[in-house]
Amino acid sequence: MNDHQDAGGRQEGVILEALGLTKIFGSGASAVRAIDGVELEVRRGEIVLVMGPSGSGKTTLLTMIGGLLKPTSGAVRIDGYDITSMKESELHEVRRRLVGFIFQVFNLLEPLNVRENVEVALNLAGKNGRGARGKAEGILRDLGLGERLHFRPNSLSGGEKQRVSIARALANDPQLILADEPTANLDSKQGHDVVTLLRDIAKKQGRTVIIVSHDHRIREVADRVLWLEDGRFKDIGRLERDPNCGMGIEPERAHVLTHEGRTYYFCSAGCRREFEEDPSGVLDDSS
Amino acid sequence: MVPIARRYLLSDRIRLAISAGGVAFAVLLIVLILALYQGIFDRAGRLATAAPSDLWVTQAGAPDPSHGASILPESVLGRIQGVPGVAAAQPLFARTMQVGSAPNTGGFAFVMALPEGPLQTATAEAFGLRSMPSKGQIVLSGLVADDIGAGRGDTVYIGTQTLEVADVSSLVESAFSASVFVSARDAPALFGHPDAFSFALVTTSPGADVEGVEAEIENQIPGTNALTREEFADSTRREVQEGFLPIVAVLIAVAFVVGLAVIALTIYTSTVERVRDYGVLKAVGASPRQLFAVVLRQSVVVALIGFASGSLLAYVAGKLIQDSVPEFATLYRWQDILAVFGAALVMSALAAIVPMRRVARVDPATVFRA
Repeated sequence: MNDHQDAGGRQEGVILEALGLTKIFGSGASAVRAIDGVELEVRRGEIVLVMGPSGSGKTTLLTMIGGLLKPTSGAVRIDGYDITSMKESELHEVRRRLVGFIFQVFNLLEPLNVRENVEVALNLAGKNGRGARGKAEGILRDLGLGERLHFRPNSLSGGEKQRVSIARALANDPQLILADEPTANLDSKQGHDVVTLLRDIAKKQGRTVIIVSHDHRIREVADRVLWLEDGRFKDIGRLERDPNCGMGIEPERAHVLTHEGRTYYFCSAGCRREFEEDPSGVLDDSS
Repeated sequence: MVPIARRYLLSDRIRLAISAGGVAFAVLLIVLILALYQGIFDRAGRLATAAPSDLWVTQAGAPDPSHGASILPESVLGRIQGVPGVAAAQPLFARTMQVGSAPNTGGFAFVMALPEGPLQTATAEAFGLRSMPSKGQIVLSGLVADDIGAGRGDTVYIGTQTLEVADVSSLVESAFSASVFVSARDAPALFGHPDAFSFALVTTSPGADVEGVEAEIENQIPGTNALTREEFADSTRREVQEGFLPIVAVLIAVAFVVGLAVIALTIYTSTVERVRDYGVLKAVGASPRQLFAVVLRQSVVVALIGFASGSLLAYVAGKLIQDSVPEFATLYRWQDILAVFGAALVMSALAAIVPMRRVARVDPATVFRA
């Protein structure tokens, strides 16, 4: 499908393109190249998982894709719109209609109840009254929150809060959902539910979901897993996995240990030491 | 539409109470000061406008009924009556003097006397005098009677002169003091100018041009100043304006700044505490204008609550003040209330400027930080 282009030059089926995306923070000797010439193309209905060590630039990449941060150079196109050439005064339309955000810490507005947290996104897009209320309630019921419409966020469990956050992200029917560590603050069961929900959003509703996460469970539902390190995508096929923490690592930069005839690669001396202390407690290499 | 601004305000009721209380205090001060000022301003012209005459004639350069500084020779009265277009001229003695329950004590009162004349009865009625005091008698206004603790039959003093209280009545007030009436026969001795009076109240003949008569009196009788009732009232009101308005303006400005500071501080601290929420709203598509509206609405709601409660408190406080200090007259005018309402809205708009600038600088990317 990537080989076909429509009359406007858009590649058929492609919802997101990042072209030479670069973000440099600071200047001179203290400049940090957080994202370094990233190229990315994501198709409709695809689930892309972006993994990488802390500080690798995952969240920076996500905020640029979502139009919350201007890149130093390069371009982001969402559904054919070059959002990097837009003025700040135009970007709120992008954030309203093209993109939905899901946050690690949910970011629900505490003074509003569950329904209002979703309805407010509709209001910002100019949808008011019973229609907006009905739509917010409908989305929340679909996500199993029909009994929680009038609850305050602080009375919800973490999983419920994240479902409200997902409902808010879906309110204006965006084709692109950007999720930043959506399972990081959830227990195993709640995390699994959220992962399942994100899969359904992509596969049943045909939306594109880009997830930034350390959570390996998400690999199960991802169509593609990208490894971001030092602001660049690395070939995940060339990466070894740290059996202690699960992180992908380049063999030439890893801490290496041979155990019972096998060679293991670790991201740090600490992970290697933990493995040495209790090799039976590590992750299954095949997972 | 989800009332975000209202929810933010109600989520911290103590802060809301403090900010609305601050505005209410400012509004209370402004409304009360204006009501007191308008009360004095209104009273200042009451004596002049209550008179049953078309014109007041005063000594030139002394167009001031409050202090009664005008002195006109007795001969002037006849000359006024001779001016074409004059129907009648009534002399009035008036002077501000100390009235007390002991010699040379007590507060200042506007002491008047009405000699016999063509408008004596009409003027007495217009000024609230039920019966003329005889020689050696005095009629007190309720305010003076309360102030010195005197009633009918008691003896009071003007300077060292003793007078018996003949009546206590609701007399017309002058701008700065309550009124009393003495007998015209006591007036020359009391006022110290036996062959003179203070003012002449003049009515014009039917069909006469009042302004023409006014000019003619001044032409024919040098040393006099003829004024219509409104002009005479205005001259007193001008004295009130010049004496009080600068003070009133300063007090109102201080109250405005207090109200403004309270709203600005509370809305700003609330905004800073909710910076992340504004970032979230930005991330989910809020335009700068929509975010500003959330801040501005909070400020306006605080101002409106403060205005409503402050106005109510001002009304109650005004009543209490008038009950405890009857000399203070209060007058609430809808124009003033409307102006204070406008000032409260201006206050809220100004108070929202700094918080709005803070919101404009919110980086929506901050919401990704855990």
